[in-house]
Amino acid sequence: MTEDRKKAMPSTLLRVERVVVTIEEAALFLILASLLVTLTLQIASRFLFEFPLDWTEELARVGQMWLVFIGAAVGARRAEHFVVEIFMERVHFPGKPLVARAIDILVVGFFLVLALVSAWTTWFGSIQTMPALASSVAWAYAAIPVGCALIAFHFVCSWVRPVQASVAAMEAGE
Amino acid sequence: MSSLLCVAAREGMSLLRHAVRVRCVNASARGYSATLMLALLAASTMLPTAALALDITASHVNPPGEPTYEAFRQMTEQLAGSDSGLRMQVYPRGQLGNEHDIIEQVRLGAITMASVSTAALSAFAPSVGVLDIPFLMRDHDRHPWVVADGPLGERVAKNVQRETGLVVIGWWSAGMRHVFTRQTPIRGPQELADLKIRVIQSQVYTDTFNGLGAKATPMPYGEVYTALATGTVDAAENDVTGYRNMQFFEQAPELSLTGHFFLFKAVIVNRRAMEKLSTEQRAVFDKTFAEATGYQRELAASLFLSDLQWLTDSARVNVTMPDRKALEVAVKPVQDVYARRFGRDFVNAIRNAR
Repeated sequence: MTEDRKKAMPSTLLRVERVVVTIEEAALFLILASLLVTLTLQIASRFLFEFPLDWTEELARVGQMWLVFIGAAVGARRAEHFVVEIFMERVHFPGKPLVARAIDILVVGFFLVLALVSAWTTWFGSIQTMPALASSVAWAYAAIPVGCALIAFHFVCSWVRPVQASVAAMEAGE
Repeated sequence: MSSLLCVAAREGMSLLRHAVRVRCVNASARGYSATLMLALLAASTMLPTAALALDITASHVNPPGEPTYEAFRQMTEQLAGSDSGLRMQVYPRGQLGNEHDIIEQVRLGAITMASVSTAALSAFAPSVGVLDIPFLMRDHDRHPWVVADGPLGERVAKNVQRETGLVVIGWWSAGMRHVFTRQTPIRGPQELADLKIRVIQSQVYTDTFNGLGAKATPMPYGEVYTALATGTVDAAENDVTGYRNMQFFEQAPELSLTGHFFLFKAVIVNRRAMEKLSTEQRAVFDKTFAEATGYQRELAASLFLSDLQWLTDSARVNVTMPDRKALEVAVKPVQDVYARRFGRDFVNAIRNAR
């Protein structure tokens, strides 16, 4: 029973991750599409309709923040982030897997701390309003804690993911 | 490899223990002098708390030559020359970001103080927007200071503190703002009709120019020159010193002295950072700041005249004196909206302050 549960845990986690990734990718698509529309509108309203819209620039900035941080989370899942691997590849020493695991824990810890600190900053700074949208900047800044939490989540998932199967391979197989 | 590390660590520890033992023996041999030394050390760290070195960090967005930059420079020099132990480190020209970023950093305590325009501050403290109402000030060198230095200014400062936690310790000048155009000079409201004009990203600025029949286009300050050069906007508005320093006159040589806004620069500080100052240090700081305030305002007023002179003589700028009364009448509905928002009596008190 306990053995079953031990095996079930990772696969549940990975199933949850798959749902999360689907949402993330859909969100990225929507944000990029709306950015395209917003910026086109901005240019068109300035040069074609001769009636400049004041909210386009602010909305584009909010969209870009979410694009960057959710994009970073998807990048973390696909292991596409920049890695300096020369040391770990060339140098051999006892306890190397332990060091690798310590690095993983450090990365997750770093992003969790970043998520917490940025959540606090978002709350503290929420009194600032964006003049044209007439809403709090917290809507933009919230991208940071959300993105960092998602990155931490994907790194945790990478621990239980089968070692050999890269995401690309998994996706090809699915 | 790990065993080698263990050996090294053991050796290191024993060396350290040996060193500590030696020092203990020496200390007991010269117990008297050691006690004396300790007492002196304690005294030296406890006595001069008043003159404890303390860094004050400040930030603003202005380049050298502009009143805010020069006022901070004067403060830095005077504090360095005093024996207060206060040192000022200024990050000018938007080195730490735009004014919104700077205000955030003062609130967080990352920097001690800053001088920011009320237009930017109103995104955090809406109540400060009362000072941004169009055609509120009669002139640029007396009326603003009657308001700012009196109970009216105190009331605005109290509102800002309630809304943001920031303490406003004084008010500086960013000057009267005027319109400059690429082609048509502004004589009255009729020339403003359908004019694409760049404004600060602030609601009252957009409302004012839309109210005047223009097409207000908010965009960041750094993009204004290119926008004027490419015709993205037909006009922009700024104080005369900024108009000269940013070389906007090259693209928009028609300067109309509309004086539609007087822009205050609130000097804000982080309360907790300032509480670290001793009473003596605070006194020195206040005195230095008062002198800097006088200097800043004086420089702003005199630069307006000298820059205007330079612009007409050397830059071939065409200066027009518009019908300010007609503009004020045209913008009356906007004034009324904002007077209702901030309280009619309060706005009238500011307008009629003498």
